Amino acid sequence: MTPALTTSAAGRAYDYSHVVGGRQTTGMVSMAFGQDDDVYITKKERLFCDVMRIKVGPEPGDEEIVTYFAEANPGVFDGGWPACVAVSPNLNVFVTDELRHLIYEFDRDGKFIRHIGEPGTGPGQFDRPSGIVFADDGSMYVSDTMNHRVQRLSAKGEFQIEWGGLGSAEGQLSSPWGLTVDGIGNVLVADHKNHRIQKFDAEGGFISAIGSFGTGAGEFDHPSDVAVDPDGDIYVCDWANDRVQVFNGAGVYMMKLGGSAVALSKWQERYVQGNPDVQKARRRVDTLEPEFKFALPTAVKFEASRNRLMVVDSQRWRIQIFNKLTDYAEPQFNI
Amino acid sequence: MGDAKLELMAHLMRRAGFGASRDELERRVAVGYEETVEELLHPELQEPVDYHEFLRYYPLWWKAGTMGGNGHAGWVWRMINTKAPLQEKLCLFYHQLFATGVAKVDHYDEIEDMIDMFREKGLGNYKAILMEIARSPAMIYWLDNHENHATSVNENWGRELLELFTMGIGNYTETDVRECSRAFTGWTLIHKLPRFHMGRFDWEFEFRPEDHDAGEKTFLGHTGNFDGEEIVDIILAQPATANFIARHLYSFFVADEAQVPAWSVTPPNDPEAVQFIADALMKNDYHIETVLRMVFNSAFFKEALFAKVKNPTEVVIGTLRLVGDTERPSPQTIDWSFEITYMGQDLMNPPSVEGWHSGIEWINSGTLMKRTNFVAELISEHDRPGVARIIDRLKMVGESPEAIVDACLDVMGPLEIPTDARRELIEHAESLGRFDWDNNSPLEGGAAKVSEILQLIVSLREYQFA
Repeated sequence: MTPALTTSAAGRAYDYSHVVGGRQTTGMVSMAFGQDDDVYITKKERLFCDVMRIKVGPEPGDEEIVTYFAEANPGVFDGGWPACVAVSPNLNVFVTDELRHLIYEFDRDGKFIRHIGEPGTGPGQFDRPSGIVFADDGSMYVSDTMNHRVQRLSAKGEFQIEWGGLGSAEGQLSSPWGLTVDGIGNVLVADHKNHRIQKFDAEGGFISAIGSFGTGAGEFDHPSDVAVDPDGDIYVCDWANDRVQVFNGAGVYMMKLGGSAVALSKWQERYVQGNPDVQKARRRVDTLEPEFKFALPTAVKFEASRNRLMVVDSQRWRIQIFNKLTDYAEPQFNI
Repeated sequence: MGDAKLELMAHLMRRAGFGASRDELERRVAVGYEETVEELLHPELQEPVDYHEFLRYYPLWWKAGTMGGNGHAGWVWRMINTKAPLQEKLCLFYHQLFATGVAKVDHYDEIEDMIDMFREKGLGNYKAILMEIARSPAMIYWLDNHENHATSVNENWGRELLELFTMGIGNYTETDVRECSRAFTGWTLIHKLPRFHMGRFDWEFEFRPEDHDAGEKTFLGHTGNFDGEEIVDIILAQPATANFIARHLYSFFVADEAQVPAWSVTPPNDPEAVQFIADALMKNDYHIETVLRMVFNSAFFKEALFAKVKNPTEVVIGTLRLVGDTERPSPQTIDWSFEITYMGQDLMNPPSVEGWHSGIEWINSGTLMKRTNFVAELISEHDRPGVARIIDRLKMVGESPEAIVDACLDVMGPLEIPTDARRELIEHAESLGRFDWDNNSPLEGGAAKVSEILQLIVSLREYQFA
């Protein structure tokens, strides 16, 4: 069955736009917005990892590869596992590493600048850091995953505060992954193995939580990331349920997106057109429906300047893009 | 020799699991043998492995590709971490029995689905497993049943069902093979989406009635318009089937047998034990949990200490579980999965539908070096928690070389070795000088010296047996 291209509920509407990615972006797990259509992505490949800078413009086909960080800095990721990426207010690129237990800082063009942090359990030390996000003042929040905590570092990379600790009580965490900062400086954390999203103030004080384990509306199975748009709506990457769920600012469930990629990306289309057997194999199936859906989406980001949602559809090597519609009016039921 | 209860518990854990540390063995002895058997037979009581933890770090192992040759790494990670080792051991048993390989199937994920089915249903009824296998996309493609049509019969699946999965050669005719195959015509696959532009998609079983031969068949003396399930019912009613499955269970869990292709001409080493298992299968409707309970509590099982050569998976997983700090998904997980392959067991890619030749055939000059080097390296890493606990135990026996050697043999088995081998170990221990436990030098300290003893022990012939 063809999925809905426009998903609307509770006064919100999301219009499927297009897809970016393909064989060039296998293993993509995280993304962050830069400037001038820059999008940075991390890739976990079979034998090597990388960070890519790509351009993603407003229309289908407006994408191109700019830089492979590993190529620009030979050996920079040796012995490492780049996990998540964030862009600082001064446009430098920060990448967490889950094997070397540190953070890389690169300039906008991908030139390596320095390492931040080291392995350990103390302040400023990490055990498999993953999610990373910047506040407006340049401080950064990092999911220190296997220490089951969040750390806040200054713009210079100095330790400021930490919170969490392994557990399932309010304020405790279990393998946190993606995280984000909302419009008033609160921090929302994908509390991955507790199957919930927790909201904290900027100092780590617990505010609220959304969700519990399950497959129903408002329930999660290993959430991987969270985003907040300028309206305050919350997007949760519900990883093992293969969907993104939308909540209002109060944490009330609004709707879900299951993926609507009815068309191939530019790069995918090129590949299929160049391989007649793949074309034929796609034409002999009863339905292309499985291609449309998310498969273990790992990251969700909201691009405020274009009012659109991007979902890293990890196992399909692509980003699905949805425009958030304003002033959307439903057509008549009896049309 | 030492503590008989401990030795028996170690035997049970080697066969129904991947071995156990001395601490675990002592805990289990305190609980009791039969109670431990019950625990092993009830994996549902254990917290399951959270496979998402592996996928989080290794996203490309979700429907893994073929070229890397290590799509089994996720299963290896499960085996390292499971709290229900018999469940994984049964996966290994059925994977050997229903050997299906990525070399032809070309989709690790479809074989993973088969392994997942073994994990879920392995302790249940053998018929249910057979029916799942008959509908498994991996098996259908592996044995060409998608080419088995009403008007053009392909006998590959039908033949192996009889020859390798149920009755064994010599218990049916070529006509039975033909009739059996006819009953499975139309058991095929839905076309799947290609993988190359956005990853892999699932394969699905499909029954096509228009391609099924619904006509009369005569099979093993029965005549009727049989379909596949009715054929399986007839097969399972044959004593030959119970005997064949019994011999597989005996060979995997009790003692090494001749290789499967020789079974039609070589009698079992212990015919009474095999008959006992066959009778148990027939009386209990092939309920594997019930039969394994009878096996593990039988005298012939309890007397079969070290009657099997460890297969490569047992060597690697047993060592990793013993030394510890191996639980997290990491690049080493992939390296370790390759070690099993280097030792001769390329999981999810067996050499043929016949599976691996086992027992003494696991050992040759190359694989023996791989086995001993792998274990020797890990057992000498003192920082690993399991190794540290072993050394802490050894410290308790003092500094006598003889006492230290005996303690090492005890903690690594307990192992019974020939007198001359023990004497050589003692002589080597004496040549190392004083075992100074207060000296932490990586070369001269007591722990370093005891590592040498442990490395020699894992190189012994006796250590290769389970």
